[in-house]
Amino acid sequence: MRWQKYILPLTVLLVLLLFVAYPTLSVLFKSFTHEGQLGLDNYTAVLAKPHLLGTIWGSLLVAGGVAILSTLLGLIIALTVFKTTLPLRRLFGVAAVLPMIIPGFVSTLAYIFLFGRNGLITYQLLNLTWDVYSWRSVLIIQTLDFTAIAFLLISAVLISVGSQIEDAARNLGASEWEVLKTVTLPLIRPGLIGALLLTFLRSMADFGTPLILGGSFNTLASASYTQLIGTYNIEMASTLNAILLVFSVGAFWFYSRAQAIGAGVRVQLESGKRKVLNLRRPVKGIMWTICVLFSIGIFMLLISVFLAAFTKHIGADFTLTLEHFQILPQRGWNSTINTLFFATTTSVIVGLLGIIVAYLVTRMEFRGRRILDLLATLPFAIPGTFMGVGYALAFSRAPLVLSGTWAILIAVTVIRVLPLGLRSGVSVLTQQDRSIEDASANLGASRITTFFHVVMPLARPALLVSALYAFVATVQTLGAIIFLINPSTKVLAVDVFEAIVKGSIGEAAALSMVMLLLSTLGVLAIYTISRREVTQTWIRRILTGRTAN
Amino acid sequence: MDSEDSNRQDSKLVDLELQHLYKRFGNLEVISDLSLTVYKGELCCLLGPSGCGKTTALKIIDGLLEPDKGTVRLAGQDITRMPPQQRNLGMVFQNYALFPHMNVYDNVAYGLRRRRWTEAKIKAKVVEALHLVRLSDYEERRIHELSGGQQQRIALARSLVIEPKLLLLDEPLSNLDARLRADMRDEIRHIQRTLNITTIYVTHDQEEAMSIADRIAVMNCGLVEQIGPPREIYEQPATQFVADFIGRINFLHGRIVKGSLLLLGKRFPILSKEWPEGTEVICAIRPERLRIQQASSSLVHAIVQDATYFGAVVRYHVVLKSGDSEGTELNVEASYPWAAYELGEQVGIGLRFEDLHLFRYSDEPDSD
Repeated sequence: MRWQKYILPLTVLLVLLLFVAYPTLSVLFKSFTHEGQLGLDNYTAVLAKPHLLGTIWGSLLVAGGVAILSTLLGLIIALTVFKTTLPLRRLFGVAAVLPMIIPGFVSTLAYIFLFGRNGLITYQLLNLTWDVYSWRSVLIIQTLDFTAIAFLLISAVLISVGSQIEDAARNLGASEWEVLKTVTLPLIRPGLIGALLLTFLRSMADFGTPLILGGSFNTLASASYTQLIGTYNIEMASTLNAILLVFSVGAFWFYSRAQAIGAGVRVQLESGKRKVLNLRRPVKGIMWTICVLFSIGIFMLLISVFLAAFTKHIGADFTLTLEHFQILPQRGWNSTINTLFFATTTSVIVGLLGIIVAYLVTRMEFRGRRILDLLATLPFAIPGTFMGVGYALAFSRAPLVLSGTWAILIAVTVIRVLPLGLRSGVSVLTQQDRSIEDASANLGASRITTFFHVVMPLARPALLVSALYAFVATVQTLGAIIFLINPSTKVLAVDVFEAIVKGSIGEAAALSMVMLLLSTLGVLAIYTISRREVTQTWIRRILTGRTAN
Repeated sequence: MDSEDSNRQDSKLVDLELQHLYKRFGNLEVISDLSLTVYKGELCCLLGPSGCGKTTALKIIDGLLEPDKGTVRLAGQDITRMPPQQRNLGMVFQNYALFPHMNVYDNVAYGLRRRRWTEAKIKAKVVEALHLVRLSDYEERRIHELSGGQQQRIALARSLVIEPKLLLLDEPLSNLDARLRADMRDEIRHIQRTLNITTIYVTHDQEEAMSIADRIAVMNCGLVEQIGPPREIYEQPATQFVADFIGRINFLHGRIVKGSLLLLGKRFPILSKEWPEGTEVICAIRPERLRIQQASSSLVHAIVQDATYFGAVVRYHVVLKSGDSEGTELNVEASYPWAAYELGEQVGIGLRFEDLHLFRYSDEPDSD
């Protein structure tokens, strides 16, 4: 009886060691190996080459810029949506979260339509010739994309600030601006810091945008792709990814610290009572203008993808056509089915595994519990390209050969989305009154019976939402699987990416439409299943990978 | 019900005046017609069941809400549309609303900083305020390190430090445990008297209101049913609602027959002309004003159904046995020295006419 209770934790631990620790260590090991010799040769090579050093600096600067800009934008939009009565504010909220369902490289594509060499705006409208392919474009697109994360994180904290505390400041004589400055902003600081660090993390890890838009500008993530696919230099790819990992894990560590400190400053929840800040007109005017500009940008991106998909040649020939969708019955159909299969399988596994690991972490006492938690959480901070290289290295040789199979794709995606499933599971279980489970045990149910008959049903809404989130994330995932794909396991994201690289803009746009449709269905399902407010909380938890409170 | 008060307070200065306030949220009428006069230096309790509009009234006084109709006057000045920032009123919120990201000192100093005081003056004032609430050594503490009672006192200090024209307290003791509640109540009373500050105190706890208030305004359905000192509220309830809400009371049905009140088969002569022949009357009587004795022919007969021992008093639950009022249940409280009655024992219940409060039957559509 005693040894039996270790079966489940041990199995999960082994799975995580195999699919998290083993590939990670493989990359690190590879980065310290040069032509079969252990040593620091790869790192000294990076330091010796100015353009690679420049890549590190470039990555950091762009990521820093993206973090600051998207956090500022996210804050302004959140304040406008939740703390004013300005017109169109709901639309701003929609615009802010839209990038969640637009895969990063699809907005990249749209951006090229608008601002590229033949761009609708730069060439057709303004007749400018500027080089669209530079770090500036990367900064702009990533900022537009990641503002969604900042917006969601900040709003979640903002709506939990009770009106009473702001009223207390008003009662003590604070003007509206002072209420914002001395009470509201300091109280949402954990959210602001979280937004800064997470957008930094995401920008560092994003490889599609710099690859397509960067031109000669490289980031660590995009350079590692070029090293592996372009020159088959897996050692250098590993090294660049290892450097990237240091920054990512560093940002994640700061993020966890910030969350922990923020937990000390508890904001009392006062549901349903939120009061607007009656800021002065010029201030509101500026906020509103920024929101309008941002929303125009987002909707323009979205519309231009539609235009590209349904017209002959965007920028040159605006005749409506379905010609680009001819790819669907050929290659596209297969990829769509593959994507559906891939995303569905992943989301089911993430949902179940998430709640199981959460149960182990919150309810069972055993040695190595913290290691289990760490192993399941860490992939949140590990960049996609790092994981991709890791899986390519680890599972192309004995003892376990998985390359070219669905298993490897599903494994890497499950592992990458698992932290979100785990966090949502943990927060349900820590909030749930344990005495319910004790009662079940008291009535004679075994642990397993209790798990399936009490824990699972109560956690179902959260489980469903995290599964659906996993679905949307899987449809869009690219960085982690780009090195692992083979012709029989093609998915839409890879097709779109290849079409963009190949220059088949219309095809890429048409396939993006299908991706958008799948993502939208997933998101709509999330919204219908759980109430809006609840969903917002989950999305925040899922996004932040936040430990239970 | 008119709430304008008797002549007794005329010598005092009017501080706060609410005139015919009206407020609705959507279709929900929260305050229907609220008028209230509060005098300088007094502690006035707004007492009523939840949903009666007392917190809304407090927010209107503070300026956090604007009434749809009516005016708020402070020392004669109309402040109905004045924003809360300019009113200079001290408010203690139900959950204290302390700023969790600041320490005790910064919380208390907050209002003074908004008034652009110099740091030296702020320091002196904060020290004084913390001394007043007996938390002098707590300046550097974080809010989450404080107990509920300490948070309460910091909230009080924060609202008093700005030398407010009024002190507004919104259920200030509801988050404390019973023992602490009594201590804090005395402390608030003490500080209020020391500073002689006009105070509006919102509560749903009648015992709290009775023990702390100079006057109590009993609210129901968005208006004041009665206002007066605790004793008056208890001993001369103006409406059936007030009689029922304050303390325990028994309601009996009586009727006016030939110039007398017919109640429990007995006649009580009525001199007043306000009760015409045939009127149905609700007669209310406090349990401690009923007498319980050995059964005798001059008394109403009853059976003891339940007895609860409280030390100083015993409360009997009895069922009447005689005549047309058979089956009526009453609470009777007997104080020391009492004779003990057994369950099921037949007893006699006695009452005096002057202990009855009479209400017209049709007055209260929602009577029980």
